[in-house]
Amino acid sequence: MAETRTGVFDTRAEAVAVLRELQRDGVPGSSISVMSSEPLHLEINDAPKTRIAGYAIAGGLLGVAFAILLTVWTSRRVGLVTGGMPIVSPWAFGIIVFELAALGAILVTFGRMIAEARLVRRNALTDYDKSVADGRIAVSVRCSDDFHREIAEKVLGSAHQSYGSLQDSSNAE
Amino acid sequence: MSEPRPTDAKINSDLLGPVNKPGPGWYATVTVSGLVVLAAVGALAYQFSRGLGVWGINRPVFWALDITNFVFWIGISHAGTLISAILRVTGAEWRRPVTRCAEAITVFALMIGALFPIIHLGRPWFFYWLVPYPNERGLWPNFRSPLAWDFFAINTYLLGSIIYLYLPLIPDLALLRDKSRGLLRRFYGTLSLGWRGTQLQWDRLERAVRVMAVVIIPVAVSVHTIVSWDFAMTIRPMWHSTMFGPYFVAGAIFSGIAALILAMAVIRRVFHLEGYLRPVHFNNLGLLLLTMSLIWFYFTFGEYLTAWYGNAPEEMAVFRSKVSGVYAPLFWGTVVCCFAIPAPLLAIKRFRTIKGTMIASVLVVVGMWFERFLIIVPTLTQPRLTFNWGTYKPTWVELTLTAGTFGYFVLLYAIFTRLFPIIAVWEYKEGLPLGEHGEATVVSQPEVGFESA
Amino acid sequence: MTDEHKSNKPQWAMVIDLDRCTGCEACVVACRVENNIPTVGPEEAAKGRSINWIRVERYFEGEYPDVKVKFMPVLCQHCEEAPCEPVCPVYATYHTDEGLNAQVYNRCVGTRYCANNCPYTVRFFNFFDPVWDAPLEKALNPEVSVRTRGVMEKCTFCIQRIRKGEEKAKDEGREVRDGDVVPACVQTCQTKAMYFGNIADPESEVSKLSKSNRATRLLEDLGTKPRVIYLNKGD
Repeated sequence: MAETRTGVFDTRAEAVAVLRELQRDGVPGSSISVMSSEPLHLEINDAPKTRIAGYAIAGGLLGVAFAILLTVWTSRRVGLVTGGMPIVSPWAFGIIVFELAALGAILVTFGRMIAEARLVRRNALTDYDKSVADGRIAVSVRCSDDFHREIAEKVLGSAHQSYGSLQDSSNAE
Repeated sequence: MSEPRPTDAKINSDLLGPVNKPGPGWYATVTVSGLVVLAAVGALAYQFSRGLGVWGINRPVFWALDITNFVFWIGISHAGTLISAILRVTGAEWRRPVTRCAEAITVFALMIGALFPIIHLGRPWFFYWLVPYPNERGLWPNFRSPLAWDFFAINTYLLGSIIYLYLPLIPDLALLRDKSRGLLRRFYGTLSLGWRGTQLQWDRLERAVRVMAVVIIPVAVSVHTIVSWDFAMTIRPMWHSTMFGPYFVAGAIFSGIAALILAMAVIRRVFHLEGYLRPVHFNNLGLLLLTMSLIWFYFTFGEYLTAWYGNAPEEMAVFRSKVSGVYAPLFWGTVVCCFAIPAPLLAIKRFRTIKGTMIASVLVVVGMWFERFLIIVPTLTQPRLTFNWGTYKPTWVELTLTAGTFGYFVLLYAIFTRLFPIIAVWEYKEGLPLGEHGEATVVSQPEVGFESA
Repeated sequence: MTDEHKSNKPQWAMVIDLDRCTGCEACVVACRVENNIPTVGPEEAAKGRSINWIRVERYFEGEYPDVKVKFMPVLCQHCEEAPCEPVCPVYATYHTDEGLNAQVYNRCVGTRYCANNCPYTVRFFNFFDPVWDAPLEKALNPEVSVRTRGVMEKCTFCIQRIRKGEEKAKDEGREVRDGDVVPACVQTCQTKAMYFGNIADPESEVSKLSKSNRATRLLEDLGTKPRVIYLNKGD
C-alpha cells in the first residue's frame, strides 16, 4: 500500500523550490503530483509521454473504415436505385466518411485524455487538498518505500512551516 | 496588462458569483422564457395531434419557417465552437473570457436547430428511421440523401461541441466541487471526474483541447456546408449553386458572432463582469463582425449578379420576386440589417463600442433570420412550371414555434449560467501575469525548467 | 438510367397528345376515383393543399379577343433519373426495374424533400388525415391503399392495374402487350389523347409514338429523362 505525503504552498516559487529539492533527493517525477487551480507549465522529470494526438489520428482512421463499411455494405444490401445513381456512390458517401472520421477522432481524443489524465478513478481525491481551489499549490509524493517517505516528510515538512501543512493519508490505489 | 493581478479569491468570487446564487432577475428571465417555451410546446402538441396542415406550408411551399429556423439556429451555433476554436488555435490571448460563453451558445443553438428536422416531419414519431442501425424493416438510410448527411454532420458537431464545452469546464467543475457542499458537491464532484489539477492532468487537458479545436473547425465548416447542400443539391432555381457552401458558412459565422456579442453584453451587465468582458473584447469581435459583414455582402452580390447576368427565366423569376417583387421589402431590409448599417457602424472606431457592436449585432441577427427565410421561400413559391406558383403565409403555430426557439435558447442559457461559470475561471487565471505566484521564481536548473506562462 | 441498371422487365411509359387534349379534366376525376385520393375541401384547396395526381395545366397565349388556350395534363413523369429519389433519406421513393418512380407510403417519414426537388411539382403531401365526404367513402377502391397524414403521394401509373395486366399476361404465357395495362386516366380520356404501354417493346404504340417528330418531353433540358412523352405539333 502506497502512502502519500502532501504539502500545501502559497506560491508557485515555493512549490517549484520544493519540487526541485524532491527531485534532487532522488524522488522519481512519476510519484510527485503538483496540484494547482491553473496550469503552472512546470516540467517534471520523467513524466509520462502523451499519445493523444496519435490516438486522435487512429480514431479518425477507425471512423473512416467504419464509415466505408457502413455506407458500402448497407447500400449494397438495400440495393435500391435512386435517381439513376450507382448503388455505391463515392461522392455522396465521402461526406459520411468525413463526418465519421471526425467523430472517431473526437471520441478517441476524449477517451484517451480521460485515461492519460487518470480521471474517473476511485478515491482520486485522497491526496488532494481543497485549498487548491483558493489558488494554493499542493505537492504530494507517493512514497513507495520508507526512504522516499523520509525525504518527502523532510522536504514537505520543513519547507515553509508557516504555510505548509503535512498530511498523512493512505492511498488505496 | 499593467495592473496587478487580482487575487484568486477575488477572481473566484467574481466568476463563481452568479453560480448557484440566482437573483430576482434570473427568476424573471426563466419564468418569461419558460412561458414562451410552454406556449411553443402547446403549439407543437397541437401540430402533432392535428397534422402539419396547421402550418402555413402548402404545395409548392413545402418548407418555410421550419427550415428557416433550422438553418438560422445551426448558423448561430457557429458562434461558439468555430470562433473559440479559431481563437484557441491561433493563440489569441483575448479569447480567454469569451470561449466558454461562445461554446455554450453552440451547444444550445445546435440543440434547438437540430429539433427542426424532427418536428417538421410529416410523421415525426418515425424520426429514428434515419438512424443507421440493423432494424426489423430490413432497410438502411439512403446515404445519397443530403438529409442523411445532415444526420451525421449535426450529430458529430453536437457531440463534438458538447465535449469541447465540457473539457475546459472540468477544472471549473472541480473548483465548484471544492466550494460547495451537500448535494451540489456530489453533483459537481461527479461531473468533474475526480479532477485534482495535477500538472499531468493540466497537460493532457490542454493537449486534448488543442486537438479538439483542430478537429472541430473542419466539422463546423462541414456542418453548415451540408445544411446549404440540402438546397444546393436540388435543381431548384437559385438553390442549385456551387457557392452555397461557403456562402452559408460565412453567414453562419456572421450571425454566430452577432449572437456571441449579444450574449456577452447581457452577461457582462447582469453578472457585473465589467472587469472581465472589457471593451477590447467587443472591439475585437466587432472587427470580426465587420469582416464577416463584408464577406456576406460579397457572397450575396456574387450570388445575385450571377443569377441576373445568366438571365435564365426560372432564376430571374425568383430573382425579381426578391429584388423588386413581393419579397423586396424583406430583401432590402436584410441588406440594410446585414450590411448597410452594421458595416459603417463597425468600421468607425468611435462607434465600435459595446453599445455600437450590440446595435450592429441585433440588426445582424434579425437580418440573418430573414436572409434564411429569403433563401428558402421565394425559390419554393416559384417552381419551374408557372402554373403551380404559390404563396406562403405563416400561421400562429409556426410563429409560436419560432418565438419558442428564442425562449428556449434564453432558458437554456440562463440555466447554464446558474450552474456553471460562464467565464472559464482557470483559463482566465492562466492568462494573467504570474503575480504572486511568479514572484521570486528564478529557476536555472535545466531539469526543472518551466515555460513562462 | 445508367447501364448497370438495365432490366428485362417491361418499361412503362405514357404518351400524351396535346393536340388532342380538350382540357375536359375527365382524367383528373378518373384518377381521383381509381386511386382513393382524398378531398380536402375548398378552403384547404385554396391554400394549395388539394391533391391531384394528374392535373390539366392551362396556358393562355395572346391578348383578348385573340386568345389561344393550351391544355397540358401533367402527372408524375416517372423520370428515369428522377431528382426526387436520391434526396429521400429513407428510400421511401426509388426506381423500380420497370422504370416506375415508386413511392412507398409506409416508409415515408414526410421530409417533403422529394417534393421540393421535383421540377414538375407533381408530388403531394397529406397535410391532415384523409377524409372523403359522404358518400365518397363508399366508393373507395379496395385495390389501392389509403394514405395516412404526413406522407407524400403521387401518380403511380396505376400500379394496381399494371400488376393485374402483368399477371394476366403471365397466366396466358405471353409477354405484356398493348391493352393489357390501361391506367384510369388513359381509359377515361374522351379524345384518346393518352396512350400507355411498354416503351421497351418496339411494336407498342407508345414506342412508335415516342419516335414521332412531334414528341417532346417536359423540361427535357434538366436531364431527368421523363417517361411521359408529349406530342405537340407546335403550331
